[in-house]
Amino acid sequence: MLEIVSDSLADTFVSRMMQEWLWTIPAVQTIHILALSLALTAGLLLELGILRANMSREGTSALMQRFDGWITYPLLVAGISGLLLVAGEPGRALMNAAFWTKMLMFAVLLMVFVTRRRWLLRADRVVAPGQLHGLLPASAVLSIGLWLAIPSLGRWIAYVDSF
Amino acid sequence: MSILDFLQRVEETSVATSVRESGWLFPTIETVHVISLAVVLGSIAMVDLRLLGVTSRDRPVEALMRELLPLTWGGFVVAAGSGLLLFSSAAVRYVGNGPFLAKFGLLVLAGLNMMAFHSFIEKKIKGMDSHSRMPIAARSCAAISLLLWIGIATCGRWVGFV
Repeated sequence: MLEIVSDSLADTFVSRMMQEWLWTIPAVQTIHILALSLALTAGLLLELGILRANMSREGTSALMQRFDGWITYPLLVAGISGLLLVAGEPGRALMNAAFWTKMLMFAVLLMVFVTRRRWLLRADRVVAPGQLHGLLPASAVLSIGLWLAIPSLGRWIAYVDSF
Repeated sequence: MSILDFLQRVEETSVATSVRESGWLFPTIETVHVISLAVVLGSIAMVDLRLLGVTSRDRPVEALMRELLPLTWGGFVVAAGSGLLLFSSAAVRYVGNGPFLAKFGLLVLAGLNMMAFHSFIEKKIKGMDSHSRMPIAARSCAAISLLLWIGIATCGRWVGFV
């Protein structure tokens, strides 16, 4: 099934164009890396902010508002550039275990981010030190792990053999 | 001893040989290098875009820099260390690689630009409130920094293609 999808994608105009103009793949990869760099840094700062003891100086609402745009828009750019990369080299991506593991982790990270976002943005959410317990710090630790694992798996795509 | 002889000797060290010949060590170190560079790039870009007045206009530059500089320096130290290990594994080949040499040149320029900013411009913007427009010197440094770091990331990606 994956092979069929991969072969079909390889026949598309976008894929053939990217294969023909070889500079397009490293160019799109660079855009992908730049966008991920912004999202990764902002993501780590948000999660560290949630975990930090001096949380009460900046409530969760202000923290989320500060980093929301830095995460959301670069992830959008990374998503679009990522789709182009898959279209450009479908066999390399779709037939690769590291790629699918990365996508699974990205889906989990997105789920955590979207689920928490609305709660964090509520203006009355000012949490004093020591009151942070339960799911919020656990979600921050999970998210940090995912933020680091996702680009790692992205790099390992080049080293893991295809199915 | 010529430079090439020296680099050859570096390649023959036990550390460099281990990195080169291990199936997992090189990709692991490379992954650490890419992530740490991403953190450096992301944190620098946040400050530069603030100096340019594009984003985070409600936050004083001083506060943003205080928050991000430890991340930038920490990331840079890890990136430099991992970069040295990667370089040592194929030193002769990298020295003959155009994008690699360009990346190093741009890194030097980015360092000089950063030094100029911290030495001459930072004190002028200390205490400025978040709504004041940054002086032209600060904005110029920020624009140059952004371009240089985009160049560094681009050359870094091209090293593997040439």
